Amino acid sequence: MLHRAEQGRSRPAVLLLNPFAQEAIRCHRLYRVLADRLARAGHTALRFDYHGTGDSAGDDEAIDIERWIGDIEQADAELRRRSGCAELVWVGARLGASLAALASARCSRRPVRIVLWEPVLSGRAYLGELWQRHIEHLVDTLGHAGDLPRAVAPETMREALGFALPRHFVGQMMQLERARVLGAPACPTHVIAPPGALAAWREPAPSASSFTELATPFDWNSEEALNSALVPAAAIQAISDAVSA
Amino acid sequence: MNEATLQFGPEGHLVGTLTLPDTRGAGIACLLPNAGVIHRIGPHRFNVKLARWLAAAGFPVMRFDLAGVGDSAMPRSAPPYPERVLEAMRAAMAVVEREANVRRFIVVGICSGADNAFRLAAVEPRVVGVVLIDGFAYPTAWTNWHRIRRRLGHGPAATVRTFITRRIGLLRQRLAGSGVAAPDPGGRPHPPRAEYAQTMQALVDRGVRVLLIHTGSLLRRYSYQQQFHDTFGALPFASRVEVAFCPEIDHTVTTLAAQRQLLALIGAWTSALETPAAMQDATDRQAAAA
Repeated sequence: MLHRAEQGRSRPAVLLLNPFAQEAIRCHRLYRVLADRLARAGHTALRFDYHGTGDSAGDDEAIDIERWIGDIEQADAELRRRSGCAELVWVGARLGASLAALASARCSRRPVRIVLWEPVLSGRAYLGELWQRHIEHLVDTLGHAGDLPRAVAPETMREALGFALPRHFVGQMMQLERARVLGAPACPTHVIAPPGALAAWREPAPSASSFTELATPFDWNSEEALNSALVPAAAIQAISDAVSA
Repeated sequence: MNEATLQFGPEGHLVGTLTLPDTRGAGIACLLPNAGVIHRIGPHRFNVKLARWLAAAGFPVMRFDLAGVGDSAMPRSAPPYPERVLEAMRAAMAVVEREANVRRFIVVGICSGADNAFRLAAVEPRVVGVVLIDGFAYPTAWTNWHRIRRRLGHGPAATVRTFITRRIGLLRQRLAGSGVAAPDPGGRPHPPRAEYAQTMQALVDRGVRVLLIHTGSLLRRYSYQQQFHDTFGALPFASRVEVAFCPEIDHTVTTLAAQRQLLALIGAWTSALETPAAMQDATDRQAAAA
């Protein structure tokens, strides 16, 4: 979905990179509101779904991190073509932020800045967290989780919170490690995260150019999206400020 | 199969994705409105899977965002919610009629989507079938008994584990800033029982096919297979309404097994419909006779 800059202003175009699975559903309205706001401020913004997610072609079993990095490059090229902008800022949330870091090092035309909101630093830990939420959700909504174990080895997971986790994808997630993400960005990087989560980016040496401590908590995997919309103003403000800096 | 995301509506404020089957000429299409505020991909992307399944079976499918939900904007005129919903659903029908050359629709809705499907069917003669997933439900004197029996049926150890897991989940939500409990989706406003019965009677008298699916998440509203017939069995329409109670499926169709089960259930129901072409022929005959 393309949100064209209003007022004919020419500021860097913004590519919005989705998180994964339930987190992407949770983030959908927030990204729409953010894109509208950026457009009003003069940034053309593009939202899109990776292959096998959202409205895009492909089913759950087709998800693939390497392919998604290619999708980001294609979306980047499309946004450059449609906006006429030579300068792009990428904004990613959660796994989308991790992908932004990885993709920034590979693409031929680099973004002028990447803005990372609570990037996933460990695929293993992330999958473990998804499983925990999967069990909690089933217990909460059905009263039981059937025969499912309370904890599993992440590499054996094949689904979580409504989405398939094909074997090759889980293997790719296992390779998503802290040092790889922290060392990936190939352009100025702004990280937005709760105070505790910023430490990884600040110590022992800064891995990002700038930071925003976002104290407003955001429950990324909540299933309450069915009956409540959540667009925290503080997050919109922090991202908008980081894009326009 | 061909998919296109379109802007439509009197002010161009609505957004939907139309999935067209490879084999054109079907006389019936399917509408998939939002479940709550989840955008048009549906809970856990179920609406995408369902749309593609139905399109492979020959049905054009429109999954779309109501005004103010997902990618759709609020109209400048901002009519009250019920009118706004009907306006959006009729606008979606107009797009499908134009793009797929159909005049008859089935509507599949989850939660508030089921409520909206029911209300549309009540006033829109082009609707010939509805699948209402966790739609309106009217508890009987036995509902609570079956709910408790079902909850305890997993054994005392499971009950204790459930209690502890729920407490941990609540604590996590509180720490993550969403400690306010989500409103019970089964607690949304229901029409009075008599009004519901009257509408349902009118639907089946009109020849509308009705499938009610109740999941295992809203047991305070619906907790056993026979509940619908205990409530409405004495009324003529009851025997003409299909009901499926699926306690192993949750309200947002979370596990992949639940998704497959629900797809199979809806798929079997649509397969048992008259063929789209036959339904269109019947409609044409009715129109000619009139």
